[in-house]
Amino acid sequence: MKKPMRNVSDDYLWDQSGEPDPEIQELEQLLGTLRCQPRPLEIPAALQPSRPRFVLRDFKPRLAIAAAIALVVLGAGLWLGLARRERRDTPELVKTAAKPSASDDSRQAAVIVPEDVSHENPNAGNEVLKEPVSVLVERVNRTRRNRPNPTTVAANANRQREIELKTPELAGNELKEAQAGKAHLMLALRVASAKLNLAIKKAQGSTSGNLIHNQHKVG
Amino acid sequence: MYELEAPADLLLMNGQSKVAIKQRSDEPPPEALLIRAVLEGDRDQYGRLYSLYAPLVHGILLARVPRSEAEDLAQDIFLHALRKLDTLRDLNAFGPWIGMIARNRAMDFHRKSHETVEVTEDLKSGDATETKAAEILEIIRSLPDAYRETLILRLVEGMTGPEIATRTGLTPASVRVNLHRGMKLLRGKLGFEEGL
Repeated sequence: MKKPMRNVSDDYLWDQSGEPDPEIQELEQLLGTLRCQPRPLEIPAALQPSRPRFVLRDFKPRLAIAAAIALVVLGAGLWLGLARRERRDTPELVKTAAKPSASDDSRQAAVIVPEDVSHENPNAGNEVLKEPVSVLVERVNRTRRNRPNPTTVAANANRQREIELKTPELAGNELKEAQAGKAHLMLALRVASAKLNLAIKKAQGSTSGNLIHNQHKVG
Repeated sequence: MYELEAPADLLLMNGQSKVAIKQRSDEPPPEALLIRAVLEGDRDQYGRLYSLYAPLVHGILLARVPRSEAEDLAQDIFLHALRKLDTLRDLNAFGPWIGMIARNRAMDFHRKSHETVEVTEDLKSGDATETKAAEILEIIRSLPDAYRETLILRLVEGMTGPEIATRTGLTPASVRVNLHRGMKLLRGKLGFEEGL
Protein backbone atom coordinates (compact mmCIF):
# COMPACT_ATOMS: atom_id res chain seq x y z
CA MET A 1 0.00 0.00 0.00
CA LYS A 2 1.43 3.32 -1.01
CA LYS A 3 0.96 6.49 1.00
CA PRO A 4 0.03 9.57 -0.98
CA MET A 5 2.89 11.80 -2.10
CA ARG A 6 3.45 14.79 0.10
CA ASN A 7 5.67 17.82 0.23
CA VAL A 8 7.96 17.51 3.19
CA SER A 9 10.47 20.18 4.09
CA ASP A 10 14.02 18.86 4.42
CA ASP A 11 14.90 21.42 7.06
CA TYR A 12 14.45 19.05 9.94
CA LEU A 13 16.56 16.42 8.24
CA TRP A 14 19.17 19.05 7.41
CA ASP A 15 19.67 20.89 10.68
CA GLN A 16 16.77 19.85 12.95
CA SER A 17 15.09 23.15 12.36
CA GLY A 18 11.54 23.70 11.12
CA GLU A 19 8.69 21.33 11.62
CA PRO A 20 9.86 17.98 13.00
CA ASP A 21 9.29 15.01 10.76
CA PRO A 22 7.80 12.23 12.94
CA GLU A 23 9.38 9.45 10.91
CA ILE A 24 12.82 10.94 11.17
CA GLN A 25 12.31 11.54 14.88
CA GLU A 26 11.34 7.90 15.31
CA LEU A 27 14.44 6.79 13.40
CA GLU A 28 16.59 9.10 15.52
CA GLN A 29 15.23 7.60 18.72
CA LEU A 30 15.73 4.05 17.55
CA LEU A 31 19.16 4.48 16.01
CA GLY A 32 20.29 6.77 18.83
CA THR A 33 20.75 3.65 20.95
CA LEU A 34 23.69 2.76 18.72
CA ARG A 35 25.32 6.16 19.16
CA CYS A 36 28.97 6.43 19.96
CA GLN A 37 29.68 6.55 23.67
CA PRO A 38 33.37 7.09 23.59
CA ARG A 39 35.37 5.65 26.42
CA PRO A 40 38.44 7.63 27.39
CA LEU A 41 41.28 7.24 24.98
CA GLU A 42 44.14 5.31 26.53
CA ILE A 43 47.33 6.68 25.10
CA PRO A 44 50.34 4.47 25.80
CA ALA A 45 53.07 6.30 27.66
CA ALA A 46 55.61 5.40 25.00
CA LEU A 47 53.53 6.93 22.25
CA GLN A 48 54.55 10.46 21.44
CA PRO A 49 53.40 12.46 18.47
CA SER A 50 56.38 12.94 16.24
CA ARG A 51 57.44 16.50 15.62
CA PRO A 52 56.68 18.02 12.26
CA ARG A 53 59.72 17.46 10.13
CA PHE A 54 60.94 18.88 6.90
CA VAL A 55 58.97 17.23 4.15
CA LEU A 56 60.21 17.89 0.68
CA ARG A 57 56.78 17.68 -0.90
CA ASP A 58 55.60 20.66 1.20
CA PHE A 59 58.19 22.83 -0.47
CA LYS A 60 57.87 21.32 -3.92
CA PRO A 61 56.04 24.24 -5.55
CA ARG A 62 58.41 26.79 -4.05
CA LEU A 63 61.44 24.73 -5.02
CA ALA A 64 60.12 24.41 -8.56
CA ILE A 65 59.64 28.17 -8.86
CA ALA A 66 63.10 28.86 -7.43
CA ALA A 67 64.68 26.34 -9.79
CA ALA A 68 62.88 27.85 -12.77
CA ILE A 69 64.05 31.36 -11.83
CA ALA A 70 67.60 30.11 -11.32
CA LEU A 71 67.55 28.41 -14.72
CA VAL A 72 66.26 31.54 -16.43
CA VAL A 73 68.93 33.69 -14.77
CA LEU A 74 71.65 31.19 -15.64
CA GLY A 75 70.46 30.93 -19.22
CA ALA A 76 70.30 34.70 -19.61
CA GLY A 77 73.80 35.05 -18.13
CA LEU A 78 75.22 32.43 -20.47
CA TRP A 79 73.52 33.98 -23.46
CA LEU A 80 74.77 37.44 -22.62
CA GLY A 81 78.28 36.16 -22.01
CA LEU A 82 78.35 34.29 -25.29
CA ALA A 83 76.94 37.23 -27.18
CA ARG A 84 79.54 39.54 -25.71
CA ARG A 85 82.36 37.15 -26.55
CA GLU A 86 81.06 36.71 -30.07
CA ARG A 87 80.87 40.45 -30.55
CA ARG A 88 84.45 40.77 -29.34
CA ASP A 89 85.79 37.96 -31.54
CA THR A 90 84.05 38.57 -34.85
CA PRO A 91 85.19 41.42 -37.10
CA GLU A 92 82.79 44.06 -38.14
CA LEU A 93 81.37 42.81 -41.41
CA VAL A 94 79.69 44.95 -43.97
CA LYS A 95 77.65 43.46 -46.74
CA THR A 96 78.73 44.83 -50.06
CA ALA A 97 78.54 43.85 -53.66
CA ALA A 98 81.27 41.52 -54.84
CA LYS A 99 84.23 43.57 -55.96
CA PRO A 100 87.96 43.32 -55.68
CA SER A 101 89.34 45.06 -52.70
CA ALA A 102 92.51 45.75 -50.87
CA SER A 103 91.69 43.11 -48.34
CA ASP A 104 93.69 40.52 -50.29
CA ASP A 105 96.81 42.54 -49.82
CA SER A 106 96.13 43.13 -46.20
CA ARG A 107 95.51 39.41 -45.73
CA GLN A 108 98.86 38.67 -47.30
CA ALA A 109 100.48 41.05 -44.91
CA ALA A 110 99.02 39.09 -42.06
CA VAL A 111 101.01 35.95 -42.81
CA ILE A 112 102.49 34.63 -39.64
CA VAL A 113 106.22 34.42 -39.69
CA PRO A 114 107.64 31.40 -37.90
CA GLU A 115 109.76 32.30 -34.94
CA ASP A 116 112.62 30.17 -36.29
CA VAL A 117 113.03 32.43 -39.26
CA SER A 118 113.38 35.56 -37.21
CA HIS A 119 115.75 33.98 -34.74
CA GLU A 120 117.96 32.27 -37.27
CA ASN A 121 120.65 34.70 -38.26
CA PRO A 122 118.40 37.58 -39.19
CA ASN A 123 120.77 39.65 -41.30
CA ALA A 124 122.94 36.94 -42.79
CA GLY A 125 123.54 37.25 -46.55
CA ASN A 126 120.96 39.91 -47.11
CA GLU A 127 121.91 43.50 -47.72
CA VAL A 128 118.37 44.56 -48.55
CA LEU A 129 117.27 43.91 -44.99
CA LYS A 130 118.62 46.78 -43.03
CA GLU A 131 116.56 46.01 -40.00
CA PRO A 132 116.27 42.71 -38.17
CA VAL A 133 113.32 40.53 -39.18
CA SER A 134 111.84 40.61 -35.67
CA VAL A 135 111.51 44.38 -35.93
CA LEU A 136 109.73 44.01 -39.22
CA VAL A 137 107.42 41.39 -37.80
CA GLU A 138 106.65 43.66 -34.90
CA ARG A 139 105.85 46.46 -37.30
CA VAL A 140 103.57 44.31 -39.37
CA ASN A 141 101.86 43.06 -36.23
CA ARG A 142 101.28 46.64 -35.17
CA THR A 143 99.38 47.22 -38.36
CA ARG A 144 97.55 43.92 -37.91
CA ARG A 145 96.09 44.78 -34.53
CA ASN A 146 93.41 46.94 -36.04
CA ARG A 147 92.52 44.44 -38.70
CA PRO A 148 90.03 41.60 -38.62
CA ASN A 149 90.99 38.15 -37.51
CA PRO A 150 92.01 36.17 -40.61
CA THR A 151 90.89 32.87 -39.09
CA THR A 152 87.33 34.12 -38.91
CA VAL A 153 87.47 35.17 -42.52
CA ALA A 154 88.70 31.75 -43.55
CA ALA A 155 85.82 30.06 -41.68
CA ASN A 156 83.40 32.20 -43.57
CA ALA A 157 84.89 31.44 -46.97
CA ASN A 158 81.59 30.83 -48.75
CA ARG A 159 80.58 34.41 -48.29
CA GLN A 160 83.82 36.02 -49.37
CA ARG A 161 82.33 37.48 -52.51
CA GLU A 162 79.53 39.11 -50.67
CA ILE A 163 81.31 40.54 -47.75
CA GLU A 164 84.22 42.77 -47.39
CA LEU A 165 86.34 43.14 -44.36
CA LYS A 166 86.12 46.64 -43.18
CA THR A 167 89.72 47.64 -42.79
CA PRO A 168 90.56 50.39 -40.44
CA GLU A 169 91.77 53.53 -42.07
CA LEU A 170 95.45 54.15 -41.67
CA ALA A 171 97.25 57.40 -41.75
CA GLY A 172 99.43 58.06 -44.81
CA ASN A 173 102.80 57.53 -43.15
CA GLU A 174 101.49 54.46 -41.32
CA LEU A 175 100.39 52.98 -44.62
CA LYS A 176 103.76 53.60 -46.19
CA GLU A 177 105.51 52.13 -43.22
CA ALA A 178 103.30 49.08 -43.36
CA GLN A 179 103.91 48.58 -47.06
CA ALA A 180 107.66 48.91 -46.60
CA GLY A 181 107.46 46.48 -43.74
CA LYS A 182 105.47 44.12 -45.88
CA ALA A 183 108.03 44.28 -48.68
CA HIS A 184 110.84 43.63 -46.24
CA LEU A 185 109.00 40.79 -44.69
CA MET A 186 108.24 39.19 -48.02
CA LEU A 187 111.84 39.46 -48.99
CA ALA A 188 112.97 37.99 -45.73
CA LEU A 189 110.54 35.14 -46.17
CA ARG A 190 111.76 34.48 -49.67
CA VAL A 191 115.35 34.42 -48.46
CA ALA A 192 114.47 32.15 -45.62
CA SER A 193 112.58 29.89 -47.97
CA ALA A 194 115.47 29.73 -50.40
CA LYS A 195 117.83 28.88 -47.58
CA LEU A 196 115.54 26.17 -46.39
CA ASN A 197 115.30 24.68 -49.88
CA LEU A 198 119.02 24.74 -50.21
CA ALA A 199 119.44 23.02 -46.91
CA ILE A 200 116.95 20.34 -47.94
CA LYS A 201 118.70 19.82 -51.23
CA LYS A 202 122.05 19.51 -49.49
CA ALA A 203 120.63 17.03 -47.07
CA GLN A 204 119.14 14.96 -49.86
CA GLY A 205 122.22 15.29 -52.01
CA SER A 206 124.38 13.70 -49.35
CA THR A 207 122.40 10.46 -49.53
CA SER A 208 121.97 10.19 -53.30
CA GLY A 209 123.64 11.90 -56.21
CA ASN A 210 120.76 11.57 -58.56
CA LEU A 211 117.75 13.65 -57.62
CA ILE A 212 115.53 11.98 -60.19
CA HIS A 213 114.03 8.85 -58.74
CA ASN A 214 111.48 6.42 -60.10
CA GLN A 215 111.29 8.09 -63.41
CA HIS A 216 111.52 6.32 -66.74
CA LYS A 217 113.36 7.73 -69.59
CA VAL A 218 111.10 9.50 -71.98
CA GLY A 219 111.66 9.14 -75.75
CA MET B 1 5.31 3.43 0.71
CA TYR B 2 6.13 7.09 0.65
CA GLU B 3 7.03 9.04 -2.42
CA LEU B 4 8.80 12.12 -1.26
CA GLU B 5 8.57 15.14 -3.47
CA ALA B 6 11.04 17.88 -2.82
CA PRO B 7 11.36 20.97 -4.97
CA ALA B 8 14.81 21.77 -6.29
CA ASP B 9 15.24 24.79 -4.03
CA LEU B 10 14.95 22.53 -1.01
CA LEU B 11 18.15 20.84 -2.04
CA LEU B 12 19.98 24.12 -1.97
CA MET B 13 20.88 25.77 1.23
CA ASN B 14 18.67 28.50 2.53
CA GLY B 15 20.11 31.91 3.42
CA GLN B 16 20.22 31.31 7.17
CA SER B 17 22.31 28.18 6.82
CA LYS B 18 24.73 29.93 4.52
CA VAL B 19 25.18 32.77 6.97
CA ALA B 20 25.63 30.35 9.85
CA ILE B 21 28.30 28.40 7.99
CA LYS B 22 30.05 31.57 6.89
CA GLN B 23 30.13 32.85 10.45
CA ARG B 24 31.46 29.54 11.62
CA SER B 25 34.18 29.49 8.98
CA ASP B 26 35.33 32.97 10.06
CA GLU B 27 35.96 31.81 13.58
CA PRO B 28 39.35 30.25 14.26
CA PRO B 29 38.81 26.49 14.29
CA PRO B 30 39.56 25.07 17.74
CA GLU B 31 40.85 21.87 16.16
CA ALA B 32 43.87 23.60 14.70
CA LEU B 33 44.81 25.02 18.09
CA LEU B 34 44.38 21.63 19.72
CA ILE B 35 46.50 19.92 17.08
CA ARG B 36 49.23 22.52 17.44
CA ALA B 37 49.23 21.99 21.20
CA VAL B 38 49.46 18.22 20.73
CA LEU B 39 52.35 18.62 18.29
CA GLU B 40 54.12 20.74 20.85
CA GLY B 41 53.87 17.90 23.35
CA ASP B 42 50.58 18.48 25.19
CA ARG B 43 49.08 15.00 24.99
CA ASP B 44 46.03 15.91 27.07
CA GLN B 45 44.71 18.05 24.25
CA TYR B 46 44.48 14.95 22.12
CA GLY B 47 41.78 13.68 24.49
CA ARG B 48 39.69 16.73 23.62
CA LEU B 49 40.29 16.18 19.95
CA TYR B 50 39.20 12.58 20.42
CA SER B 51 35.94 13.53 22.08
CA LEU B 52 35.22 16.01 19.27
CA TYR B 53 35.84 13.57 16.44
CA ALA B 54 34.96 10.20 17.95
CA PRO B 55 31.33 10.39 16.68
CA LEU B 56 32.57 11.03 13.14
CA VAL B 57 34.98 8.10 13.19
CA HIS B 58 32.44 5.87 14.89
CA GLY B 59 29.77 6.77 12.31
CA ILE B 60 32.11 6.09 9.40
CA LEU B 61 33.05 2.75 10.90
CA LEU B 62 29.46 1.86 11.70
CA ALA B 63 28.59 2.28 8.03
CA ARG B 64 31.20 -0.33 7.15
CA VAL B 65 32.10 -2.70 9.97
CA PRO B 66 30.11 -4.61 12.63
CA ARG B 67 29.02 -2.52 15.58
CA SER B 68 30.97 -4.62 18.07
CA GLU B 69 34.20 -3.79 16.27
CA ALA B 70 33.57 -0.10 15.75
CA GLU B 71 34.69 1.16 19.17
CA ASP B 72 37.95 -0.77 19.29
CA LEU B 73 38.74 0.22 15.75
CA ALA B 74 38.00 3.85 16.56
CA GLN B 75 40.51 3.75 19.42
CA ASP B 76 43.12 2.19 17.15
CA ILE B 77 42.50 4.82 14.53
CA PHE B 78 42.97 7.67 16.98
CA LEU B 79 46.22 6.17 18.28
CA HIS B 80 47.44 5.70 14.73
CA ALA B 81 46.47 9.29 13.94
CA LEU B 82 48.43 10.52 16.96
CA ARG B 83 51.50 8.74 15.68
CA LYS B 84 51.11 10.26 12.24
CA LEU B 85 49.89 13.68 13.31
CA ASP B 86 53.05 15.34 12.01
CA THR B 87 52.12 14.32 8.48
CA LEU B 88 48.89 16.34 8.60
CA ARG B 89 49.58 19.24 6.28
CA ASP B 90 46.49 21.37 6.85
CA LEU B 91 45.68 21.63 10.54
CA ASN B 92 42.12 22.67 9.69
CA ALA B 93 41.54 19.43 7.80
CA PHE B 94 41.82 17.02 10.70
CA GLY B 95 38.25 15.73 10.16
CA PRO B 96 38.64 14.73 6.50
CA TRP B 97 42.07 13.31 7.29
CA ILE B 98 40.98 11.06 10.14
CA GLY B 99 37.81 10.17 8.20
CA MET B 100 39.97 8.85 5.39
CA ILE B 101 42.08 6.86 7.86
CA ALA B 102 38.86 5.35 9.24
CA ARG B 103 37.64 4.35 5.77
CA ASN B 104 40.96 2.76 4.92
CA ARG B 105 41.03 0.93 8.23
CA ALA B 106 37.50 -0.41 7.60
CA MET B 107 38.66 -1.76 4.24
CA ASP B 108 41.64 -3.42 5.91
CA PHE B 109 39.28 -4.96 8.43
CA HIS B 110 37.23 -6.60 5.69
CA ARG B 111 40.33 -7.93 4.01
CA LYS B 112 41.40 -9.69 7.18
CA SER B 113 38.16 -10.88 8.78
CA HIS B 114 34.90 -12.78 8.12
CA GLU B 115 31.81 -10.63 8.10
CA THR B 116 29.12 -13.18 8.89
CA VAL B 117 30.24 -13.86 12.46
CA GLU B 118 29.82 -10.28 13.61
CA VAL B 119 26.43 -9.77 11.96
CA THR B 120 24.80 -12.63 13.87
CA GLU B 121 26.44 -11.39 17.05
CA ASP B 122 24.91 -7.99 16.53
CA LEU B 123 21.43 -9.34 15.94
CA LYS B 124 21.19 -11.74 18.81
CA SER B 125 22.42 -9.39 21.55
CA GLY B 126 20.28 -6.84 23.36
CA ASP B 127 16.56 -6.19 23.67
CA ALA B 128 13.89 -5.74 20.98
CA THR B 129 14.62 -2.03 20.44
CA GLU B 130 18.27 -2.69 19.94
CA THR B 131 17.50 -5.56 17.61
CA LYS B 132 15.20 -3.33 15.60
CA ALA B 133 17.89 -0.65 15.51
CA ALA B 134 20.44 -3.17 14.31
CA GLU B 135 18.06 -4.24 11.54
CA ILE B 136 17.57 -0.67 10.37
CA LEU B 137 21.32 -0.15 10.51
CA GLU B 138 21.74 -3.13 8.22
CA ILE B 139 19.23 -1.61 5.80
CA ILE B 140 21.13 1.68 5.85
CA ARG B 141 24.36 -0.20 5.19
CA SER B 142 22.82 -1.65 2.06
CA LEU B 143 22.46 1.86 0.63
CA PRO B 144 25.15 3.36 -1.62
CA ASP B 145 28.31 4.55 0.13
CA ALA B 146 27.66 8.28 -0.05
CA TYR B 147 24.17 7.97 1.42
CA ARG B 148 24.79 5.44 4.19
CA GLU B 149 27.66 7.34 5.75
CA THR B 150 25.78 10.64 5.77
CA LEU B 151 22.58 9.04 7.07
CA ILE B 152 24.37 7.25 9.90
CA LEU B 153 26.11 10.45 10.94
CA ARG B 154 22.75 12.21 10.94
CA LEU B 155 20.44 9.57 12.42
CA VAL B 156 22.78 7.55 14.64
CA GLU B 157 25.36 10.07 15.75
CA GLY B 158 22.87 12.96 15.86
CA MET B 159 25.01 15.37 13.87
CA THR B 160 23.31 18.09 11.84
CA GLY B 161 23.92 18.59 8.12
CA PRO B 162 26.26 21.57 8.56
CA GLU B 163 28.24 19.65 11.19
CA ILE B 164 28.61 16.70 8.85
CA ALA B 165 29.82 19.03 6.11
CA THR B 166 32.39 20.67 8.37
CA ARG B 167 33.72 17.46 9.82
CA THR B 168 33.88 15.42 6.63
CA GLY B 169 35.08 18.20 4.36
CA LEU B 170 32.15 17.74 1.98
CA THR B 171 30.27 20.76 0.70
CA PRO B 172 27.01 21.51 2.52
CA ALA B 173 25.13 21.14 -0.75
CA SER B 174 26.52 17.63 -1.26
CA VAL B 175 25.61 16.63 2.27
CA ARG B 176 22.10 17.97 1.81
CA VAL B 177 21.64 16.07 -1.42
CA ASN B 178 23.03 12.89 0.12
CA LEU B 179 20.71 13.22 3.10
CA HIS B 180 17.68 13.85 0.95
CA ARG B 181 18.28 11.04 -1.52
CA GLY B 182 19.46 8.61 1.15
CA MET B 183 16.37 9.28 3.21
CA LYS B 184 14.18 8.74 0.19
CA LEU B 185 15.80 5.35 -0.45
CA LEU B 186 15.58 4.43 3.23
CA ARG B 187 11.90 5.26 3.38
CA GLY B 188 11.36 3.10 0.34
CA LYS B 189 13.23 0.17 1.86
CA LEU B 190 11.63 0.45 5.28
CA GLY B 191 8.06 0.76 4.02
CA PHE B 192 6.80 3.11 6.65
CA GLU B 193 3.21 1.91 6.32
CA GLU B 194 4.17 -1.08 8.52
CA GLY B 195 5.28 1.23 11.28
CA LEU B 196 8.53 1.02 13.11
